[in-house]
Amino acid sequence: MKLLLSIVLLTLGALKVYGQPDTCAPLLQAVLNATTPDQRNNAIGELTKLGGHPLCFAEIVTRSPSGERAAYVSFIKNLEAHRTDKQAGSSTGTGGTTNLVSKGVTAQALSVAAEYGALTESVSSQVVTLQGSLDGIPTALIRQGFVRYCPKEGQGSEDRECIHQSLLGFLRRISYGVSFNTSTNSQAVTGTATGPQTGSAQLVTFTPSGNQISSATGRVVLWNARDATSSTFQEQWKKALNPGTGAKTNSSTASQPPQGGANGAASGTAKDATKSTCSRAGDNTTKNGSGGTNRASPAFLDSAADTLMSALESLIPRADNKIWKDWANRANQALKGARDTDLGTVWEHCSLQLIDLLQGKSSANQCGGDPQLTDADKKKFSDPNLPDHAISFIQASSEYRFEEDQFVACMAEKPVLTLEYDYNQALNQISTSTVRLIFDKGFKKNWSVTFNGAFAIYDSTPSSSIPGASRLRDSQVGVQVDRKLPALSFLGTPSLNGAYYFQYQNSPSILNVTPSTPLAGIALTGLSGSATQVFAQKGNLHVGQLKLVLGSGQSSVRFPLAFSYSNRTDLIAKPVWRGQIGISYDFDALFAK
Amino acid sequence: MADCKLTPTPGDPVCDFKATATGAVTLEVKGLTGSIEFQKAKYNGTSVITAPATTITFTIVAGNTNLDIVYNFSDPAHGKGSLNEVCSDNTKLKDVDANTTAVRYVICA
Repeated sequence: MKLLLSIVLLTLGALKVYGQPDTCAPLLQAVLNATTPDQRNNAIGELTKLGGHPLCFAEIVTRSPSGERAAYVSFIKNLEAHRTDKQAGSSTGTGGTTNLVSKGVTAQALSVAAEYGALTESVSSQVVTLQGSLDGIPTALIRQGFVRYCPKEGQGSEDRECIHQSLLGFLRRISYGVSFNTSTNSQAVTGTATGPQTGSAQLVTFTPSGNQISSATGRVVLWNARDATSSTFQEQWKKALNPGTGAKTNSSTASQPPQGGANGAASGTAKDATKSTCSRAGDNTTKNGSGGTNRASPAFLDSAADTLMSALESLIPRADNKIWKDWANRANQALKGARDTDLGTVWEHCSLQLIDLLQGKSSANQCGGDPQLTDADKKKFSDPNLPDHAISFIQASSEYRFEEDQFVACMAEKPVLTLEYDYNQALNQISTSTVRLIFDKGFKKNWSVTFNGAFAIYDSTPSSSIPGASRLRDSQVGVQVDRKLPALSFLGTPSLNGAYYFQYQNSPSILNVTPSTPLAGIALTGLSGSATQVFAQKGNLHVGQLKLVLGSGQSSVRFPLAFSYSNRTDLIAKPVWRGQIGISYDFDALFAK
Repeated sequence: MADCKLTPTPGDPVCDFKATATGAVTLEVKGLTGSIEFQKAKYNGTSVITAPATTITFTIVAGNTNLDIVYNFSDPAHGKGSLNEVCSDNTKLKDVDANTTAVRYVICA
């Protein structure tokens, strides 16, 4: 449906009735608004210098009779060439995590974090988390040239056949994540005797059981702080453009703290204070005093600039192009001699003539006399692919403007208040749902603080035979303080954070047991053969964590290293020291051309 | 400070600037609304910067040549500024605004 819509929109755009595009209107208006002959002559001079307004020229070409068909054909070719759409730690609660504290904003497209370790769970497990935000797909469509981008303000903002900046901004606020438990003990096979024993053998029916999807998360940013004008922002913008000159970077992982318990443990969430981060955890992230991080990499911007430069060089005639120079002199004279009421018509005829001549065709349009060109000039300086170059330039211009806006939005917009919902389906546990409110604010240049408040409920009512059990499993609060450290050449810009997490257990941790099937990582002794659930002693959890996040030069890989202490875990009422290690990679770099 | 080499020629149908002499020239972009930098710049087909910068330096050669620039604006919606020559008069050559991020100027020497 989306593809069909794109085709319809672009076809409509390509088949517009010829007329002056909006991008040229200010140029013509400048001529009409001139109050002196010099001003008028200067404004007319700007019209014929195509390089000063290449978007105007490109749109004239695509709207001309020869440009319309070329635009449609080019789009179909592009569509055929892109048949396959292209397409980073888990939230607190899933078995393995290095994040005691949740982050507010996820990777734009995909980020994968494979983490090993556990913070509040009793059993470690290997968890892979995939997460993204809703603006990921429209962003990919823009970057691949399927759909044009319309900025919020300025040129092109009134276009309808495009994806608007405001829509992207709304979609960016909504993110999601799915965590997969990839450890071997996440799958179990149960065998039940279904036939009579024959000799020493017996027929058994095997049944698989396991929860590879251990959790799912949805997030909405309720309140964004935005600063895109202050001198502080402009300084950060300049530094972020050139990361090698000491731009501040944030190497925070894209993973979110896992939710729920580890294998065999219903520990509730290990999320405490959730950090708000932009989706890309790359070296070129910049964190300002408000605690947000740069989402857009300068690499995307630079790549788009390269494409735009190439498109400019292909579209606009070079300084030595005799077809253009001859036309410019004639058009200049024609426009100077035109009355204000005829200006638009003269310009239209002149621009159509130029388009024909540049493609090597003769033209029925008149513009200040006949062209003074030799056949050799026509052959040397014409380009039959002019409409394709115009389409490429419009596309490149749209994408570059998109990258400019993305680059600014990342640094300027910082989530302050985020609402998160986590569904956790740990192995051998009753599934839980957690609602969390995340507050994230920066202070000073390299510091930020995050607060979390949450409650978790069992998705089904626990057995009444479990004393103290109720739907409300626990409530939690957490705080995390982050400090950005000086950049290291081969390790990017590391960050150090300290976090504290408190969990009030309203209901004990409950595990589902099957007498014939042992729990992964847990050995039960003296258990009655008829017991189907076991529960642990309730108690409040206090957890402290110190984490160092290292980068790898300019890549999008991050390595979180953490140590934590807790007075107990979800099952064991004894203090525990733990170490956690992880790796995350931000796939957004794959979307850059 | 060096003598100025470039003169803007807005009324000329072909030339954006005329050069009084060949040789090295330095241009800068100044932001009036927000900050502006040269993201890419090429003179006569050759790149003259390797990273975003606020100044570029190149050597003007005889004849009609192209200066191609991709600007980057910290305020992509309202950014405005000017392109100037770094010289004794700090000549203003062109106005720059965020609606035109890529331009091809013609220098006539």
